[in-house]
Amino acid sequence: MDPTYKAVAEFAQTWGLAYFVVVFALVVIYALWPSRQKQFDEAARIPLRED
Amino acid sequence: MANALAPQKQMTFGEGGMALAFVALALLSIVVAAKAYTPEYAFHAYLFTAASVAAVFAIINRYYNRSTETPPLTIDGKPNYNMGPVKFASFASVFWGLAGFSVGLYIALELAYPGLNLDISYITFGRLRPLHTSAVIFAFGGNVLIATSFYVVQRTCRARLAGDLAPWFVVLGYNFFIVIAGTGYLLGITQSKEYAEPEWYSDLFLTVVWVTYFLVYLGTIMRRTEPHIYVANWFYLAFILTIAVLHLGNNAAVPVSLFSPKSYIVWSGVQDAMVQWWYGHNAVGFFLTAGFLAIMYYFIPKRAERPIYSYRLSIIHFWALIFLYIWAGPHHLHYTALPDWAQTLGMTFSIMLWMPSWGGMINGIMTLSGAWDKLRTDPVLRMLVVSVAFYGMSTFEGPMMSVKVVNSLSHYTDWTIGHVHSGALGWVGYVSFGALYCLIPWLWNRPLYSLKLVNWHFWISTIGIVLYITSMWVSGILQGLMWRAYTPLGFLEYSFVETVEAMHPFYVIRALGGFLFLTGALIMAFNLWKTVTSTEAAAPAHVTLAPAE
Repeated sequence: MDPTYKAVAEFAQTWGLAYFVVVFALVVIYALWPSRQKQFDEAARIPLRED
Repeated sequence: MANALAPQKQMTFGEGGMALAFVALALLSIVVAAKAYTPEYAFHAYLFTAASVAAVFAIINRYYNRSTETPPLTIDGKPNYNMGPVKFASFASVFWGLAGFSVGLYIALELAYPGLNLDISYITFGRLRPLHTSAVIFAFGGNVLIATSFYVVQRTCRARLAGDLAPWFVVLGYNFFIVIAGTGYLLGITQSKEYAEPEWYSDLFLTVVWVTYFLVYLGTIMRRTEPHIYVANWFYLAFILTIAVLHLGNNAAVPVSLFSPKSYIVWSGVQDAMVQWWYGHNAVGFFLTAGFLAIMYYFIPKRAERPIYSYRLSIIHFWALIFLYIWAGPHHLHYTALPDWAQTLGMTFSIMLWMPSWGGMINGIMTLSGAWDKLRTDPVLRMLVVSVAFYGMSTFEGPMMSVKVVNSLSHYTDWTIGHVHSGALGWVGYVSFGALYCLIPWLWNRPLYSLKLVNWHFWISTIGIVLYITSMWVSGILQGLMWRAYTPLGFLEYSFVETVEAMHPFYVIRALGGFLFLTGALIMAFNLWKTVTSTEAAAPAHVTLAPAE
């Protein structure tokens, strides 16, 4: 097996996984952060406002 | 005196530049047409010439007819929305929808009664099939996406569409690309890559159109007066950006010559297969899913007059969906030369995809919580909500079919066709119809001609979809089981032609389902036509949307 291929595959299977888990955790934290409730409630009403 | 003070009318840089670019394209097309290797390619070159000349005339004509000033961004403090391109694309979507559904019905009948190809090469199954898939996905679906995205981005950003000629170039250029692609299939011009059949020159043209689309969309978001970018715009942006990347990756082809329609892809063997299904599955994920989820996130709240069930869920839904979808492609290549680990990876990501898909479905359906009675009184909302239910069903079926053992039975059978159509007719079709039933009355400021006809459309089409998907389930599983049946001596029990014969009754039922779906769409086209041509103006929004008692 080509050593570059092996190195890339190994990197993807370890650090790649860790990267995805961290990014997903950040998204969840961002979305669920309690003080953002008001901001998101307002955002949800954007389509309902008429001009 | 007033005349002397009025500023001189000047051609903008965009008008002049675009007119010159089209003159150059017309000249180039004439040269190509003259030296083309095949008459089919020469025909396409002439179409390019004609369209370019028409574009030059249209630009100059528009310049003479327009007022000196370019349209203002706001009028009396309200955004001056640009709805012309939206109107055109919504009309085009209905037209292409009817064309695509009709071709679909015809090829369904060809499968049941093969003599229907009449021995004419142009209408054989192999040529009409890509015409059907491209007409429904890219022509019908694509125009719905362009129309709704240009509408939604303006309304949720409270800003006029960016660009002057650019939005028109997007809608007209995109529809011209569809004409080139579709006529090419009939004439036998194809790359033979599923959902990426158009040859190199149409691909290049589409690239220019698509990059313009992206810039118009981004430009509109950048001039927004609403500080927050509403979630529907994220889905539209992901759709536009990812389709651009997919299109470039899967069409990295070298033409034989400027004068030949034929090209060769730079990938080879299993790499080519992997790139093709990375493209193919993400065409499902970002064209047929992300784009139409954007429609869900705008039109369901708007029609139900309630905010989305959970805005937080929509954020998690968005990021999870786009992170996972991009990896699911290998499930199209189970038990092939693709390395085993890549197949397993594709299967794993497909199963994980179930979570964001159902998160989105729950978010869409639960938006109605506290307003379920509207399902009874408003058939348009019912269509939108049933589309999300179909979305939930087909995104459960898809991950299940991506499991290797299930795939060993289902792959290459009609089950796949049934699965695709529960998504395409139920989800994409219904959410588009629902959006058109909302959008066209809003754009023309007329009340919808008849809610009763919407009801008829809904029920006729639903029966059609049910006939379609159930017949394909039975036929697909039957087919899969017959292919793998062995006699006690270890021979295959059925010859291939016996399995084909066994399919006949299901193909007839499927064609009947398609006929009902087309009938529903014809009712919709009539209803929308009567809406646009009626002389009555719509009552203010709060009166028309009052709940029925």
